[in-house]
Amino acid sequence: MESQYQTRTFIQGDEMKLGRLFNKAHDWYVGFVPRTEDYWRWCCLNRPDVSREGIIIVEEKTNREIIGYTVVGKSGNVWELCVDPNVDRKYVVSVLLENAVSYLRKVNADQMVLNVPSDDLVMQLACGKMDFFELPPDQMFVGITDFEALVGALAENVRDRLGNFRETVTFRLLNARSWINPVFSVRIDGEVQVFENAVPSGFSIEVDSDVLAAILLGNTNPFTAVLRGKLKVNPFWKFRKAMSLLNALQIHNSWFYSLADYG
Amino acid sequence: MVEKMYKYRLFLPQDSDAVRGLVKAAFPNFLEGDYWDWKHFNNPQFDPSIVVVSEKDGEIVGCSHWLKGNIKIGSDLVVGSFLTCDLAVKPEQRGRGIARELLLQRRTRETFRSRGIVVNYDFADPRLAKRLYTPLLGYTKVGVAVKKYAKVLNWKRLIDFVSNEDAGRILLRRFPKLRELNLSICFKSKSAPPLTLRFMNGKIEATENEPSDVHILVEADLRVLVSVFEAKHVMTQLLKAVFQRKIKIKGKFLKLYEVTQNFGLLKTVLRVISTPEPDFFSHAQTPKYKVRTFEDGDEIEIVRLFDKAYADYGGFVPRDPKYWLWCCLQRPGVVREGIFVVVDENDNSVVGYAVAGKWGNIWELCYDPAHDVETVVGMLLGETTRYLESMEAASVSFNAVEEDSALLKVCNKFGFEALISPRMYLSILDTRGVVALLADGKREELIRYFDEAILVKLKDVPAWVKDTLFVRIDRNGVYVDENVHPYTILVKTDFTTFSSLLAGVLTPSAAVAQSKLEVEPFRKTSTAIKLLSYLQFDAKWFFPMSDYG
Repeated sequence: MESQYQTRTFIQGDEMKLGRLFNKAHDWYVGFVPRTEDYWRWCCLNRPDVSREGIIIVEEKTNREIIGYTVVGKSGNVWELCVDPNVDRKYVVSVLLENAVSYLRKVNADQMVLNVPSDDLVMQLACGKMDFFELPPDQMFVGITDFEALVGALAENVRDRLGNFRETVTFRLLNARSWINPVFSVRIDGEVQVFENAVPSGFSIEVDSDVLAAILLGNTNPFTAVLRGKLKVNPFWKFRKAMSLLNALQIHNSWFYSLADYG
Repeated sequence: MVEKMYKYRLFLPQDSDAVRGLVKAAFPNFLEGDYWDWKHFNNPQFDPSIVVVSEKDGEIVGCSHWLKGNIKIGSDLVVGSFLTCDLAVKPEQRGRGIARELLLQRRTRETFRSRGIVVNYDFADPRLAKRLYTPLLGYTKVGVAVKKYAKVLNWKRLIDFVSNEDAGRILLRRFPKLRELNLSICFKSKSAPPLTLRFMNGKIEATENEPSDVHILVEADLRVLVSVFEAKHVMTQLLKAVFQRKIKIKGKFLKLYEVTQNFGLLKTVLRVISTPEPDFFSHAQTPKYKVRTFEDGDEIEIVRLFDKAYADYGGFVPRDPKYWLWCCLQRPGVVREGIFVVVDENDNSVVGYAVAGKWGNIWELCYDPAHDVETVVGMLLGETTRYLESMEAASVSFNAVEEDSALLKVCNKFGFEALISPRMYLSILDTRGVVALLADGKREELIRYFDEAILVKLKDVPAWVKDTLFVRIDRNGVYVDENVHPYTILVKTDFTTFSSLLAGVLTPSAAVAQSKLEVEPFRKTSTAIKLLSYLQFDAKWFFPMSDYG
C-alpha cells in the first residue's frame, strides 16, 4: 500500500486540486463554504498560522493524483483534513494524522484539535487509535434572511422529487423580523416562480417565521409543527399537499464544517 | 433633550487600528499576529459596508463584522451567506446593549437582497446564542454531524502557567491553604504525556514525567478528568467516575483526603488543560493599591470609573469631566484634600475614589468592581473618616447601592449603619419623548410581536402634560404622538400610574389588578400588558449624594 502513495508538502498550483478534493470529500454534507481556488488560497494558504510545511498532501505515485490532504496550523488547529472517498481512506487518514502530529511537535504546538464528521467511522477509528479524546463540538446557528429566495431555491433543487405537485402556495410568516418579507408566494409548475407578495394560490401556509426556519433547516418535522398548532394550512383539506411540499423542501443532509469554516 | 451616548456607524479605513486592537483584546486566546488583517482587511470578499462600529466620545468601543460568502445547504445547492463574527465590545462598556445594537445595524431587507444573502450564520457559545442570537435574530441551532477531537502534545502551557511568579502569587492569595500543602499528583492519560504536579511550601511545580515517588496517581481519559473538574459538584462526579471505573486513583488515604480539601486549587490549575483562564492572566499582576488625594487630570479616569461602576443603573446625571469638576471639585465644602483616589500602582489606573465634603457628606464613593472591594473601599472609608474627623464633622454619610453586599460588608466593618434611604420622586414632563425613547430601545421586539395602535388616555395630568398619547407599532416602525389617531387598544389610567409604569416601579399587570388601569376592548388586556411591559425603564435606580444638586 505504502509504495502506491507518497507524501509531500504544498507546492504552488495545488490550490485548485485541493479545493476540488475538499468539495468531493464533503459532497453529502451541508453547512460549509464550497471551496474555490481563491477561497481556498485565502482560507488555508494565507491563514496567519499556516505555512506550506503545514499543508501535507498524499498523492498517488504513478499519476501524482492528490488523494488526501490536511492543513495544520501552528496553533494546533487542523483546519482541513479530507480524503478522496474512492481510495483506501484508512491508510491515507492515518498517514495524514501521523504527519500532522509530527509537524505540530516540530513547531512546538501544545495540542492538536480537529473536526471529524460524526458518520465517518474511518476517521473516528483513526483518531481513537492515535489516542485523541473527544470534546463537545462547537454549535452552528443559522438564521434565514430571505425566506422566499431560500424556499424558491430549495423548490428548484427538489423539483424532481416533488413529482406531480403543481400548485401556487402562499406563505404567511407570523412574527417576522423587520428584515424578513412576511408574505410571499411560490408557484411550482414546470418551473419554480417566486412572488414577493401574495398571489391567488391553491393554499396558504401560516407559520411563525422561526418555526418555518426550523422546518427548512431540518430541525422540526412539519407535522409536529401542525400538531403543536404552530403551522396552519388554509384550506385545511390541502394539508397533505402542504406536508409533502414542506418535507421535500426540508434540508435532510448532515451539517458538517471543518475548523477552517469558522473564519 | 434626548441624548444618545453611543453612535453607530460604518467602518472607515482609519478605524483599522482601533478595531484590530478591540478584536485582539476580546479574543485573547484566538490566533495571534495579523489575524484581523487576514480575516477581514486582506480578504478578497471584504466589504467595509457591512462592518459596523460603535463610538463613544470619538472612541471606538465596539465592532461587529459580517464575512460575505457562500454556504452549501443542499447536495447541489449553494446560497449567498453572511457569517457573523468578531463581535466585540470593550469590557468596561459591556452590559449596555451595545452588542445588541451592533447586531441590528445594517440588518435590513435591502442589505441582504442587494447582496444576494439568503442565510446568516454563526458559530456561537450556546449560552450567548440562547440569550441574544435566537431571540433577537431568529437563529436556529442546526443538528450538526461533527465530532471534535483533541490531543495534548505537551504540557508547556500548564508548566508556563504554574511557573509564572505572578500566577503563583495569585494562587497563593486565592488558596492560602497552599502554604501548608505537601502533595504530589501524577495524571496519566492516553491522550497526553504524563503530568506531575507538586505542591510544596506554598509553591507549585509542574513537570512532564511520571516519577515513582508521587503521593497519588490518577489514571483517566482526559475528557473524563476535565469534565469532573468542570462539574458543579466535583466530589459527586469524581466518586461516580471512580465507581464507573472511568478514573483510577492509587495513593495514600490521608493524601487523598488532602486532595478533596483542595479541589478549588486543583480545578484552577487543571482548567488550563482545556482553556486558559483569561481573567486569571489579566489580573496576573498582583495589584498594589495606593491612596492619594486628587490631582489635576484625575477627572477623566474618575468619570470613566463612575460610568463603569454604574453601568447597570439609571437615575443619575451621566458624568463628563466638566460636569464632574463642577459637581464635586467646585462644590462648597469640598477641597482637593477631601477627594481620595485609590490607584493600582502597576499601571497607575484609578480603581476607586471618594469625594468628602467637610460637613460630613461623602458626595460620591465609587470603586472598580473588578478589584479587591474590601481593600479599595476600606482605604477610601479609612481616609475619608480620618479627614472628616479632622474637620470635626459630626457624622459621615453616603449613598450606597442597596444590593452591593461587598460594599455593605465593608461599611459594617467601619461601623456604618443603614439609615432610611432618601426617596427619589420623578415627574415626567414629556411623556411622548420618554415613550419614544423607551420604544426606540426595544424597537425590534415591538415590531416583531405587535401590530397595534394604542391610545393612552390619562387622567389627573399636570397642566404641562397632554392627556392623550398614541403609539402605533407596525412593520414600518414605532410611531409615538400626542394626538388622537384611530386605535385598536384604548388604555385608561391616571398620570401617576402611567409614570410609575414607565419608571419600572409598577408592573402593568399589577396596575390592572389594582384597577388603576383599564383596557378596551377587555380581550386585548394581555396584549396591552405585554406591550406596556416593553415600554418600561428596566435599569435599577441609584443616585449618589452629589446628584441631589
